[in-house]
Order: sequence, then C-alpha cells, then structure tokens
Amino acid sequence: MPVSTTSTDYAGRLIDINISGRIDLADPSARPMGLTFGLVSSKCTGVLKLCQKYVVVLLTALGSQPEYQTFGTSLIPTLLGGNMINVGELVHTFNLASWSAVKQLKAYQLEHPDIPEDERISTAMLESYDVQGTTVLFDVKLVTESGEEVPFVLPVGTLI
Amino acid sequence: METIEQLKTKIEALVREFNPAVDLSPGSVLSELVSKATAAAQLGLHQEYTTINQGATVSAALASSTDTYNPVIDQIASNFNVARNQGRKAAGKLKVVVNANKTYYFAAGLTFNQPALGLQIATTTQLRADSTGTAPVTVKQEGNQFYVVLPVEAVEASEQSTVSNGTRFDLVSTSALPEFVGASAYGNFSTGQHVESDKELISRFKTGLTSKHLLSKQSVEAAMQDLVPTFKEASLVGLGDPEITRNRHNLFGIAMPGVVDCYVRSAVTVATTKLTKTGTKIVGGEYNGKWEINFTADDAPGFYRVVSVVVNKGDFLGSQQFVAELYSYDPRSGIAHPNDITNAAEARFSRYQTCRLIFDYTSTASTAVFDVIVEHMPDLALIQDQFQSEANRIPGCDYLVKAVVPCYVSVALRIARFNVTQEVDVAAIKQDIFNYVNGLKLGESVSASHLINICHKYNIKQVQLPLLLTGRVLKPTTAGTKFLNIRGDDKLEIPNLPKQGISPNNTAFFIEYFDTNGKESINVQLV
Repeated sequence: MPVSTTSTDYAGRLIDINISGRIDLADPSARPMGLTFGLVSSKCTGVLKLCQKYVVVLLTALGSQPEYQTFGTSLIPTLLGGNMINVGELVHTFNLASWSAVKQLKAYQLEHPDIPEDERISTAMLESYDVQGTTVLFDVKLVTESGEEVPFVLPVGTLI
Repeated sequence: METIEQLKTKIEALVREFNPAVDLSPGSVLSELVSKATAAAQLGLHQEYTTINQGATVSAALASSTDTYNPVIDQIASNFNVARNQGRKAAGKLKVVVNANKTYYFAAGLTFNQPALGLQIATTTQLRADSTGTAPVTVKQEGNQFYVVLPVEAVEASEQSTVSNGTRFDLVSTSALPEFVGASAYGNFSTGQHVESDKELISRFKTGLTSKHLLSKQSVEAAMQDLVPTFKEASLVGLGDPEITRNRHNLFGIAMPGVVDCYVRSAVTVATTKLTKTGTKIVGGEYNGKWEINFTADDAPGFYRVVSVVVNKGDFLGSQQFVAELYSYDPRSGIAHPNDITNAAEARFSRYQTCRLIFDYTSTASTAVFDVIVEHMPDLALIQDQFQSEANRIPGCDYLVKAVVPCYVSVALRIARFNVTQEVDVAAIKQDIFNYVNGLKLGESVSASHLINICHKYNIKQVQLPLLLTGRVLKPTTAGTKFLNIRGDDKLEIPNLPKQGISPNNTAFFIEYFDTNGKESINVQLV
C-alpha cells in the first residue's frame, strides 16, 4: 500500500491495533491487505487505520453481531452463498457493499468533526478485480477527505 | 435496565482512562473485538441478574413483569408438596403432499409453519420415504399427487401448539423439498403444555397442602393435578343433582347418597387419537353387507365420537359413510369394586363405554384393517383407576368418572382498524380468545363483552357488532352422534337440560383454532 507522503505529523493521533500488515513505503506496488493476527504487534493510525476500518466494516457479515444488526455489509454472505451468476453481479455486489461501508463510516464522521481529514473517508471505488481459483482479488482505491488516494488489493476467499 | 449502548459507552470510558489515545470508533479493532464484545457479555449478565432478582422471592416473582423460572421458587414449592410442571411439546403427524413419486430423504428439523397460529413444527429424526413399503415412511398416491405422513412435534412447548386435523402448514424453506405441494395435520396433535412459570407454580401452593382425598371438588382437583399435569377441573354430581340417575338403582327408585358422577376436564382441548381396528363384514340381519368395528372399553376409554374411518394404508381424505353408532357398556365385572352401571346411557363418556360402529365399505374380503380417528378426553382410565385403587377408594361410595360433555365453540369477529394499512396482531388476538374460552370454568358462560375487551387490548378502532357466538354440544346419546346447537349475540350459555344429560354442571366449552374440517373456529376478520 503506497502512500503519497510521509510528511504527516501523527503525534497525538488516536491509535488502533494493526492487523492488516506492515506498510513498506519503499515498495511502490500495491500489496494485498489481509486481516490477520500473529505478526509482531504494532499500532496504526492515519490513513492505514482508515483503510483497516473500511475493510473491517466491508468484511463483517451484516447481522453477524447480534446486538448490532446493521453493522457490516452483505459482501461475504453473498460471496459464500455460491449464487453468484456472473462477473457483472460480482462488481454490483461489491459496489453495493462498499457504498454501505462508506456510509457507515461517514455516519460516524458526521458526529465527530474532530477526526483528522486523512482519517475521514470520502469514497472507495473498485478499480478492477481478478479471480484466481476460489479467491477474488479486489483492486480498491480509497479516497480520504484530504484528497489522498490509497490503492490496495483486497483478497477475498469464496469458500467457507 | 441499561442498554448495550450505555454499557459500551461505560466500557469505552474505562478503557480511555487507561489509554486516552485508543481509537474506539466503529470498525476499529478495539471496538469490534473489545468494547462491543464486552458490552454484549455485560448485557447478558445484566439480563440474567435482573431475572434472578425478579424471581428471588415469592412476592418478587408475583410482581415480576415477565415470566420467571427460578430454581429458588422450585425449592419453596417443594415445601408445599408441589413440583413444577416441565411442559411438553405437542406432537402429531403431518401429511405432506408432493408432486413426484421418488425416494425422499427428510432431514431432522425439517420445519413447517402455520402462519395464523404463529406455530412451527418440525421433524425430529431423519427419515427415508419411498413407495416400495420397505422404507420407514411410505410414499402413497392420491389422484395425480403423492403424499407421505411424517411424525412431527412443535418446536416449542406451549398450549398454542394445539393443532386440529386438517390444519394447513407451509414449508419454511422451500428449497429443502422442491417437490412440496402442501401439508396438513393428519389427525389432531397431542395437547402441548408450556413450562409452568413461577407465578403459576405459586398459585398452586394452596392446593399443595390441601388434603388430597377424593371427596370434595377441590381435593379431587388437587389430587388429579398431581396425577395428570394437564388436569383442569372436576365437577361432582351426586345426591340432589338432576343429572345423575345411577343413585336410583334400588327397589323403590329413590335417590340414595354415596353414588357420584365425577365429570372431569383433563386437558385444555379435546384430544384425537388414531386407532387401528379390524373391521368385519356383516352377514345376515338388519345390516347385511355392511361392515362393523367393535370398540372395547379399553379403546380410547370414554371417547366422545368417531370422527372418521378409512381403510388402513389407503387414502386419508374423507371417511367411510357411517350407518349406525351403537353405544353400549362393559360392566367390567372382573375388576374389584366396579361401578354400578345398568345401561349404556350411564356409561356414556366413561371407562365402561363400548361401541359398535356400522359403516359402508365395498370389498370382497370378510375382514379388513381400518384407521379410526376418535375424539376423547385423555387419561380418563387413569383417573377412574385412581378412584378405584385400594389406597384411595372411599368405602361405601361409587364414584364414576366421566368425561365432561363438550361444547365446541366458534367465534366470528369483525375488527375495524383506524386505517386499512394498519397492522393488527390477529394471531395474538386468536391466542387470547383461545385461552379465554378454554379457561372458562364449568357453569361460566362465554361473554361477548369479554371478547371485545380482549380485542381492545390491541390497538384497534372498534369491534363491529353483533358478534356471532355459536356452540355445538355433543349430546351423550347412545345411538349416533347428535349435537345440540346453541348461539348468542351477547353470551353463550349451556342450557339446563339434565334429562338429556346436558347442564352447566357437566358441560364445558372448548374452542380450537380449526375444526375437524380445517375451517377456522376463531374467525377474526379485519375491515
């Protein structure tokens, strides 16, 4: 996940636990963003934290949290349902889910105007995708309110 | 009680006290894995604590806004010689019509829904069905379609799961059985019963310490509730009561004490049972060429009536045409202390009743096996045996147990809404009417004003009058099945006709959601 600048001052920012891998600033190519524990513990903030939050919301199955039935999206249940007819439906499903994730993050942002601009989502778009066996690689571009564009690849398995 | 949001806010404040820099916004790892999960766990504990608190004492349990099931109340109940009724699920058979003759595999938990009752039933074991007759379930043909009969039980234990023959069901997941056409109850289901709540258990404390002899109405009921958990009410008819004739069996025909008819309602609703009986072709005499089935005193003891007769393993629809139902009695002279019965009328609805059913059937054979569905009050023989056991019987007295005379009630209501798009919980209204009518004591009448009150518990504009209340009292006749029709606009009362064996002392109101023809008995129409 290349970032366009390293000059941001992150002092005093709210931090989260990093479960989406370490960013190699020297690597200009987009790297897959997978959610996993087990690496050396690290913290994250800024745009990486925003990307991680977006992915967490996107990949949480809608209704899977009994007390928070509206949290998450229908992306994973649809992909695992095995009823995907064609690639057109795949794109449509992702875009609907992505729009829902962005909307949920924006609802929180509206109530919290103090969040820094590079941690506020503006939009997220599907650039392209690649189906490799039972895995779909979504090439996503996230745009922050500060105008920063963050491309990354999101691999999603379609088998339970 | 605190909401999950309030709990989550508290937990997040606590976490921030330790580290003000943590991000707990939605989607953050700490929010998803720590604060939400902890709040959900806290909420569960809060709910449990609140419930325990509400049922910790008798007064708290009685004041509780919800039904509680606290073990503390069980322990208190044991001091009164009373135990909690653990409830039971209604069970029965479901006729499932399919459009293909093939081998079917039905998974355990295949669920069907009755939308009007809000009731779900399911298969309990995995079953295989085919038309060869070797599988546990046989696929049978009916016209151009095929059907199987599956054993099912209610998903939850409750009285609401009372299901009459012919009640329609939908398949919850149609993909589980693509050949599905329709489903209906195959005979009435056994009566379900909910787990007794703390309030209900406490209400039985007073009967727990009652002397449980068999002399008075209250003590009989206390004793029978221990014996039959579903037992509702008893009515003792004896000296001075016009309903009884057995106490005049003496030289002068004078009514004497010590002879009692004990009418019992041992369940919320009338039960139906399928009996498998051998029928015989009659040769000679008045019924030459007809068929007959003889019911002994042990066949669904004291049954009310025969509902249908169909040849075993044949089509279920309909019944053979009845020619005559001739009731008689078995004096059971082989047992110790049999009751004094001298005619069939006295034995009707009792443990001593027998019946000869004559019906039309065309076959060259001289015998055949038939499925017979009868309506009856359950556990009648068990209750009669209790009265006659050496440990309980009252020397010098003759207590004959009879099933209470049933009056089948139908209610038709038109409810006006505030607007046509308004939703009204019709299933809940039906359920309340069901509970009200079946909860009436002997001697009470079905009141239209009470039904209107039930409807106004819900957000409705008005109940359109007049109401239609109808009842059919099954006469305790010894030849054929005969009904006495009653009706009313403001109330429904049992007429006092002791010579016909019908009076408020021995006749009870019963209501089902559907009658034996599958027609709604509680008809609530929204306008």
